[in-house]
Amino acid sequence: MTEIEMTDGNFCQVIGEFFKKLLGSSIVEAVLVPQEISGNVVQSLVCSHEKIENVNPLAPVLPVNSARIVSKLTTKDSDQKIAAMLRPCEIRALVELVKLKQAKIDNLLIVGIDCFGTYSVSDYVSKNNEHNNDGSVTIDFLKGIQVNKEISEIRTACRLCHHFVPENSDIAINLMGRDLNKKIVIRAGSDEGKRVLEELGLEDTPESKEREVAVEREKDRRRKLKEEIEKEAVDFLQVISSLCINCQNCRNVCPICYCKQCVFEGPISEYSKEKYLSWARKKGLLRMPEDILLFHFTRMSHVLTSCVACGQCEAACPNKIPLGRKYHRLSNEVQKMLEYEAGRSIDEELPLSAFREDELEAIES
Amino acid sequence: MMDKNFEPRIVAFLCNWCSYAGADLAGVSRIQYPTNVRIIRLPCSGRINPLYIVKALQNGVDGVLVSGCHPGDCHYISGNLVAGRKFALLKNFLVHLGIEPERVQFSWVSASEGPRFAQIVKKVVNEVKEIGPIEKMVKRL
Repeated sequence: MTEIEMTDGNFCQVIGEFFKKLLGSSIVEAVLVPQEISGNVVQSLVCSHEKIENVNPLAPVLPVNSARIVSKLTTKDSDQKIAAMLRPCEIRALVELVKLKQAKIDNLLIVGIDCFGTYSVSDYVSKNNEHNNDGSVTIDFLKGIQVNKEISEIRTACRLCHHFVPENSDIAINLMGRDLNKKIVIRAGSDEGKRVLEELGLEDTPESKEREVAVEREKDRRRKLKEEIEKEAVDFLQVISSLCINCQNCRNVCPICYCKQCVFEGPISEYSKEKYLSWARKKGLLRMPEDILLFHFTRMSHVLTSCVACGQCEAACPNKIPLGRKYHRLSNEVQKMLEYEAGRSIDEELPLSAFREDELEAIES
Repeated sequence: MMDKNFEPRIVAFLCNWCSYAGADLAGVSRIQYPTNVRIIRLPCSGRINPLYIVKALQNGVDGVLVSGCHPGDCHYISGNLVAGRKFALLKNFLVHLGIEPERVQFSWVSASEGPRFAQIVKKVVNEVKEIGPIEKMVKRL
């Protein structure tokens, strides 16, 4: 553990300094960091350290799940090393993509950070506009979190999330249980991370008790919140039937939906007029477009085993179908049944590519 | 109110090597079983896309029966084992979305088990009769 005192400026600047140092040390060729760009915070791939100007990994916004970006950067072989600043759900999605052979982490330094949740992009941007983009939204948000204030704009997926501490990262920025006005704590999460911190001249000291307490307290708080949210019953089939417009945004933003060409882009649901009429005749009426249910069920059977419940599907839905909540629930159930947890470990085999000979009898019903 | 005369429509996806031969044996042996099943033969239970099951239910089929070789007996060595988790996954979320578990059933029948096939069909038909016609997915979807 390395403690960086806040001598001048705020924590964003301190984290920015860390990335400048990393980039200057020639350990990595480039860093992928979230930076402020006219009112929003988006990932940027930075090669020159003067361009690390507005790093803000603590802004409560997640425009895209960056596992998709890392996948784009690393699927082709290359020995140039890069560092990526990722939230816990992004790291977990990345772990799944590596197992699905859609990303490589051999030449990637993962810098994780404690996550306190995020707003939707539109909420974040409009709040920022209200405050003339002076950075106070992030500061107010963190102040609120530190005094356990209930912030209603936090996305449902984030409220339900209990993986707010980065796992599987090489270097972790610890915020929980710290006074953010005083210091930032950077810890090594792997041997590689340890080596990098040593090379940067940052020493390693042990984990503190306060943090463990704070993490446990936060877990407790979220467990209660989760129970509350899960009480609201939603008839998902009805909601889809009335609200889905088949835009397939949910598929386009999902970090796990990786197919280059989706089966639903093909002629799978192109039929003749006679066919549609025969269905309509049989049922009396046919909901159009008729393939939305098939689309959602197919997506579920494809992604639930690897779903990390980041809630990007819900954020992208123009009609606010509570997909995030549903996927959180269903993926939990499915993964529990298969004794698997998406994003937990890179060595665990994907449940659908493995089997045990004795388990088939149990499926019989 | 339950319709006493309700005759469910069941689609059975059977693997070519075990269950289809089992159904054949039931027929050749003149074992009586309900006529509610429509059998679709596939090369292997591993060939069954979960989509087929959803599509069948969506189009007003009251129940789906999937049947393949017993564990260890697959003609393609592990087709049924690979399929097993796929089915379990599908059933898990269908049930969570409100589809009755009786509507999607899996069983393993070998080519020599004609009587067993007839018995499974009877069981599935009776269970689906009990819960009535499928409404959840057909009505508006």
